[in-house]
Amino acid sequence: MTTATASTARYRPTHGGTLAQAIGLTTAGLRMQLRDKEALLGLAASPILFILAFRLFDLPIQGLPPGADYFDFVLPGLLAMGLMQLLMVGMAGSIARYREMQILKRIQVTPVRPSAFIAGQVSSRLILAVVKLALMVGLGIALGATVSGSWLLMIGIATAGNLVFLTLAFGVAGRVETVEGANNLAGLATIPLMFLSGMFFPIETMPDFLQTAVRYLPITPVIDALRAIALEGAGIGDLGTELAIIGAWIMAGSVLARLSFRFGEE
Amino acid sequence: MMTQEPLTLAYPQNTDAAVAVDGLVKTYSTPDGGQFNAVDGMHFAVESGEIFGILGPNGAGKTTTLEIIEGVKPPTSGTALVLGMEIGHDTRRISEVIGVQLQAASYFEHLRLGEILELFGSFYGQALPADQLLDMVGLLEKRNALVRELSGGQAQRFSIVAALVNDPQIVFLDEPTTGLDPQARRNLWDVIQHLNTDLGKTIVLTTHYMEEAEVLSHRVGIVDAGRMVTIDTPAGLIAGLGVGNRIEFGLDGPAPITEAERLPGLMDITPVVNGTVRYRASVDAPNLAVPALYQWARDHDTELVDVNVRSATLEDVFLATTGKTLRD
Repeated sequence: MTTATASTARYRPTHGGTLAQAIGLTTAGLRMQLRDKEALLGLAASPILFILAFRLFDLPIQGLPPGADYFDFVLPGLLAMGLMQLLMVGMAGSIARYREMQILKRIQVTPVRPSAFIAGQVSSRLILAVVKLALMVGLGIALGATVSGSWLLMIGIATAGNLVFLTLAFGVAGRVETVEGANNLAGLATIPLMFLSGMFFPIETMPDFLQTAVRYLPITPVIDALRAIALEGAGIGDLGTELAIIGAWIMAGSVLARLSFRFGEE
Repeated sequence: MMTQEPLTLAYPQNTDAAVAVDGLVKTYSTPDGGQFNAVDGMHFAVESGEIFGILGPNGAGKTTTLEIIEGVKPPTSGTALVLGMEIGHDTRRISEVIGVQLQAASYFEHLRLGEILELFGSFYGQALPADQLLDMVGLLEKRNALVRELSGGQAQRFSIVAALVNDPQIVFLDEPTTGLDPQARRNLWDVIQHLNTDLGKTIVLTTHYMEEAEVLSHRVGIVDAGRMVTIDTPAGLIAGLGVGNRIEFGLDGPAPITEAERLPGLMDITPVVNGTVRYRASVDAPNLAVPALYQWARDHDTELVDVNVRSATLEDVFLATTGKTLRD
């Protein structure tokens, strides 16, 4: 082996591959989120307020296991909604902001691959969302919600759902030029999902022709699975259908994100 | 008049050039449905090891040209080679060996300077340590600062050093000193010269400050309306004017200014309207022309005011080659 030349010796070791780029971007993304105090406050406060507010109501829901009430029914929906709002709207807004500040253009002139950028953004938000999920589940249990199955499995399923939200955010806002535009688009995408996925009200009370269709929306299987775990104590083996639909959405979302996202004019 | 000899505008046949641009065109649609060529047949070559200055007014196509070479946007037509690699074809390989400072780009708000450099380093196959980079521009003690905590000059120095994380062979600087005060500007000139002289970087920079082009560049290319008008060393461009001095003056009262063209050694008298009416002229023998001009004014019962005789500059070259001033 020959000795390293003086000029290579002063480089610090880097890899420069897609994985190294994605890890660098994930670490940076986590740091940025943790230092953005206002965003962090929103991350913690808004789901807490929603959970507290829904604790005040009790609606009759048919088909609940004995002893379960509306709060038990709605908590999985609130988990999904809180995450969807923050991840989809937050991610879409932040992509547009990076575009406005020309940070994307600056990254475009480096060897970073778009897939590495997407992976870094998605994983840094996913990691923080797990913390938020644990907080929400904990608060729900403290307020008397029943979780008969594994709360770890709930967090796992919700994280898979988060992956769908985040890739969809890239799909929706991958080329949008302004923060306002991205917020509007992401907001528009979340509203139908909120009401059609059975977040607050049972799907069974919708018109028949819609019931089958909404089963295949990206959020419905997430909420269904969370409810099955919380109310019926379902294990991973009972959730085959839901997991298959979520998996399909993760793949579709990733393809959409990769197709839609552009650093700039290419 | 300017004696214009054929300059090195032709497309270089050798691929040794650091950057070789040939017939680059970038067309945009205008809101009224028409078309506009921001870059309109750009040709030039940058030699390895030189500082090449692209001088031109705002809107001349300087930034668009750089962005096409850097891979930010595709050209409508034409080609460019970077170290022999073709843009649009070897984009990722090119990005490994160039460093880019964009005109208006910012960096992540919540990351410290050292962290930004480490993040950008992770994008490349090779990277210099953050501390070494920060030390190069006197920002080592700011390694834990955020970008918004920097002064304008510090932020520009940081954006230059952020273009060096991969120890690139060619560095592109887009109007690096725009908006800086004179001292910060000189400070940045030192940094740029250090990169070239001591670290051997080839540098391509754009500017609309003729002094900057003159001080920094080994060769200057003058751009106007999306085209390269002329390329030479700053001294060569000025010598090409033929007439080495300029005079600017005002008149205290009306006088038939066109007659002054007949005075010895005075030519190309043009009005410069800038609040008050002043005149600019070429002077090839100031010792004859200046006294004659004073005498001519007295003969017409008026006086010269605010007389300024100076050597010709790149500004005069720009005026002679494009018919415009850089400040237009």
